[in-house]
Amino acid sequence: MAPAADIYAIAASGMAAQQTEMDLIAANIANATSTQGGHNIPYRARTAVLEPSTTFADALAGAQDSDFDFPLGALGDDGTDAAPGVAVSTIAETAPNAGEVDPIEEMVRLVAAGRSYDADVSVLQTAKQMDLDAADIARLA
Amino acid sequence: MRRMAELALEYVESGLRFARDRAAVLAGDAANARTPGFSAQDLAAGAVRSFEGLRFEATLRQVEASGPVAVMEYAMAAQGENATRYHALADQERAMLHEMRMVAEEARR
Repeated sequence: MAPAADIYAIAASGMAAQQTEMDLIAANIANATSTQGGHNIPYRARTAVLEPSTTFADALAGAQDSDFDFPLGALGDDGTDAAPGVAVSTIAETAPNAGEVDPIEEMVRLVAAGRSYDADVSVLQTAKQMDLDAADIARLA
Repeated sequence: MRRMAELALEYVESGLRFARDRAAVLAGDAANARTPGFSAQDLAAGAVRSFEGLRFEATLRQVEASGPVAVMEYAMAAQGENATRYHALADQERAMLHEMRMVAEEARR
């Protein structure tokens, strides 16, 4: 199915998305007391809206030479489609009536984004260890 | 005897490929944990007997985990378990290859 490089690409897409989110949080906190263009309009917090980057069917394109059978029903019967990667679809402002930046909320989001970033790093490390094992086997064979 | 060894290697390699494929699905879960409305998925393995012998079948299934925290926890726990399985299978394959090499050397003498 998914070649080794895909795992790296998936984890990298997650890391890039979380990085964007953390950049926005940093900007939100830095601008917590700013006004927009000097018109006394409070700065509005911005957040990254994530979306799956591709459909799982795309990821399965390389599955033809796999030893496993992926019954098509497993992918489409319930109308769902897994997504291997993630991307930032839009940068959204908070609701107009939300008012000022809430530093506590921003810090909570920062922790969540950081944790998600760590998870992607962990996925990368796992994939690397798998590749090392595979390379070791190839050396022996 | 040779066929048996080949079959055993084939099975172990199927397990390794399954673990690799599952790692990709779980990587997608971890990456999308904070995506609104995302539902986590996983691969389930099953063995099917056919005329050619034992054949493995992988099926994509939905995971009962909702919300970013639950999806992330599931993905990371499954990733860890999957990596351990991959490592164990890799150890087994290494041991089998080592044994085959020793038998070949013994036969050469």
